[in-house]
Amino acid sequence: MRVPGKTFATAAIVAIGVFAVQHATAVPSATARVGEPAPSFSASDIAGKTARLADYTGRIVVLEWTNDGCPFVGKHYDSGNMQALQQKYTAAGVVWLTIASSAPGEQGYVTPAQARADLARWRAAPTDFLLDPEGIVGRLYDARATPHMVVIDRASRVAYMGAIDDKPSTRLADVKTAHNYVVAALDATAAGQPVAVTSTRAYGCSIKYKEG
Amino acid sequence: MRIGTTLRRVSALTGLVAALSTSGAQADGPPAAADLVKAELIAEAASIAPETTLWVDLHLAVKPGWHVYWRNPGDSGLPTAIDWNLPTGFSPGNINWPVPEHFVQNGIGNYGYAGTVDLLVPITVPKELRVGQTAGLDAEASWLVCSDICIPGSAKLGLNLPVSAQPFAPDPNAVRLFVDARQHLPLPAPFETRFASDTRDFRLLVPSSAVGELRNPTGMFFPIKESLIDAAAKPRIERHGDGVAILLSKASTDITSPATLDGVLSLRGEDGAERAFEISANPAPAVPVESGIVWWQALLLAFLGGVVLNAMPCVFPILSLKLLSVARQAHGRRSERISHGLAYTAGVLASFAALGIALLALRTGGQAAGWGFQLQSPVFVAVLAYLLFAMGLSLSGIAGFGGAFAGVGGRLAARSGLAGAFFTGVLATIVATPCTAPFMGAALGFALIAPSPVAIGVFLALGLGLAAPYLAASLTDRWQRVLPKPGRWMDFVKQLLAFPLYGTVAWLLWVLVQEVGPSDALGAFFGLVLVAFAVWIYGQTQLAAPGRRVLGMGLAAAGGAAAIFLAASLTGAPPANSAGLRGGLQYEPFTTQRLAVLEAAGEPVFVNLTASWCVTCLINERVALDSDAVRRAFAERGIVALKGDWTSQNPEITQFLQRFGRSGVPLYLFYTGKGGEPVMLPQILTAANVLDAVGKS
Repeated sequence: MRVPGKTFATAAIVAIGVFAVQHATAVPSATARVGEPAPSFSASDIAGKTARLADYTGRIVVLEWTNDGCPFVGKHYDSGNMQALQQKYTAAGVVWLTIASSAPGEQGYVTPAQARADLARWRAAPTDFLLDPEGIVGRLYDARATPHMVVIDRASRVAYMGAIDDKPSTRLADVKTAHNYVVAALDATAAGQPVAVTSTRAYGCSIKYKEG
Repeated sequence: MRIGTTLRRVSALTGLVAALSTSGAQADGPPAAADLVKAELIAEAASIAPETTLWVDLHLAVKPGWHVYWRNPGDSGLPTAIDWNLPTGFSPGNINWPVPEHFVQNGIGNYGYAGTVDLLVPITVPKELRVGQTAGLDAEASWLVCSDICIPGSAKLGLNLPVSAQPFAPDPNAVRLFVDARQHLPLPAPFETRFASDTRDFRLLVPSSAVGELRNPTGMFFPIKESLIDAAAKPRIERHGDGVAILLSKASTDITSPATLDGVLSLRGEDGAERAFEISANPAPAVPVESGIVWWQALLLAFLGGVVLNAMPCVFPILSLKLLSVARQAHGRRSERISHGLAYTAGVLASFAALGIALLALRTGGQAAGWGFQLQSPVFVAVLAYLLFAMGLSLSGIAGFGGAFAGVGGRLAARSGLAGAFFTGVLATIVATPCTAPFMGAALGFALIAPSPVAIGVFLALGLGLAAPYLAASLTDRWQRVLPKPGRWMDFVKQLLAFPLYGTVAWLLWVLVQEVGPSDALGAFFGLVLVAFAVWIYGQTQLAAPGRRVLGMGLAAAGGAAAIFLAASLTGAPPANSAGLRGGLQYEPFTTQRLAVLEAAGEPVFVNLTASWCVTCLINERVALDSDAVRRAFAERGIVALKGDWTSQNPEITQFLQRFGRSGVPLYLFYTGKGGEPVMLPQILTAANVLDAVGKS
């Protein structure tokens, strides 16, 4: 049966709209918590496609909140730390989603073109880069500072939320001596073992959410 | 003295500028770090003396619209840090953080400083220093400064100070700067704070002494530990007893309660006046009971306390009267005797219930009231003295008041007898209040913070205890075998029993003098003369012809009314130096502030909280505290004795008592001077147990 293209597009837009509204209204009651099912979400990626968490069911997922003007994010990219983690774990089958939740006009807000430029400059290799200018995904995962990291296990439960490591600073040299919570959580999750530290306070720049 | 500063751009910043210009997020590029924060290192003294502590100030001037961070930055940010490079032997202390501000923007909360901030650091100077040398103190300060964006900054700072035997006088500007800086530091809390928690909130329970004179305060709490409290939430404040409770939203519902909730409490009055304290709140027990007992224990203790009250000096005259009436009724009908016992019990219970309700009403009204509060009213004391004096005169045979005072002779009409028994119960309760029996302190402390029905239960249990011995006596027939038949001996005993009453009157007058001073008490003394006249004229005309009898009663009533009028004019303006503050031991007046100062100085301190109307307190002083052995021990160990006088109302002492789960005096505490919780001494003291408590120090 053939469906006229225009009708199909309209239906898709309506469906996505309904989906977005549902999520926007579901935010206060379904905020992510360690040990609980990871709240589902969808967002536009830099290629203009809609990416859904549900697309990666059964795989370990890392969420990384970023802000390209934030010196704390800069510390992990200028030192090569973040890219190295992305390469190592995506090669091992982990899904790595970089997310920008800054509102338009605020530091860290990127257009798809700017996001692609950031990735090229950083030589970053996440699975995808998601744009969340409304802050819906960010608020769903209680992201308050960049970099904010979340690890989701194969059973779609939140295994870790918080800081990337235990040295809250902007000094590049600290990356080498810090204990990386995300690495620990990913290795434990991959091995099917319990995560030792499941929740920390992310350090860094506050996320510049859209007001309200 | 001020030393020039060097501000350096960090190398990381260069990268940042590049990143921003390529991303194009900020058209103008970020401001230079040097324009955002000006850093200076300032010493309090112009020179360094060996074996002293030198205070140094990292003075940061932050550009308007930007802020730097407190030790716990909140949801994002980074505390300012100082990396010291000091000569051998010098050791830097921790930063003394001034009270921060709370910044909230779009659901992100931070603790930090805008404008200028002074971070004071004590530096311990070693002994081995040659006078005439110069010591170079170097530091690298680093900070994160944010508005809507964040930029890290740092500066290499240095001070070169000559070494001298005595520190040189500082620059007057530096003196002013340090004075101002210290005014912004939180004070160590001279009170105890507790916290309770449920799934959503921590409730910080702040006593009234913290609030002080602040009107309609708002409260803020800056937690030292991260991730406990939602940094973006605005704390709510509500009344809690005499003080306030500050409601702090938990960072998440699965936060477990910490051992202590540490941080800075800031209270701000509606006029902007601010008081800030460093606190370490201990968890409050699940039931708000500070004495650590549960309700049935409180009821049991209250009952036992009530029983013991019967033997207390202030109740004894009443008990004597009742024993007399038991003796009289022992030969009467059993049912009549039992109904008297029940009427007496009802009188006691009704009065205790009334007292309980009054106390709870005062508590709800936010008044600092405690057990024995009635005796803080000079009018009440004077009227009580009149009443007991009239009773004494009646017993001495000046006049017979019929059944009301367990009158003798003839068969009593059952009705007036029951009323008399009831009234005696009321009287027993009234005069019992100054005697805090052991066991009662804890039970009444419980009652004052328990929910109202439980509190009233405690008061009723106390009343039941007070009534119990007489009730038991009225229920048994044993008395009949013990007591001789009624006869002349009863008149003799009755007249003898007048004397404990006169004794109680003498004591009440002394209390009155403590409360209003000798001159004002004179009116009440003349009131006694009027009472004596009233009783006499009543007695004289009692059996006279009807016309004369009415005249006599009128005169008696007029005399009584005049006496009450004199009493009612008494106002509770205690003399500046109450006689209650004298004693064998050398005492300083108690204030929580003085206590905090002595504690901080590491001095051993003995605290005696007392009142002139508290018989237990006075006996403890005579028997134990004023003994030579105790006085010697205090002198040898250099123990500072503080006495708090609760004879008249004193909210500070009421508050302090409540901290220890007490609602009344006496309370004896010994602070060892080595920190930690004080030793609480029993309510009945002996020289031995005082020596034992202070000997452990």
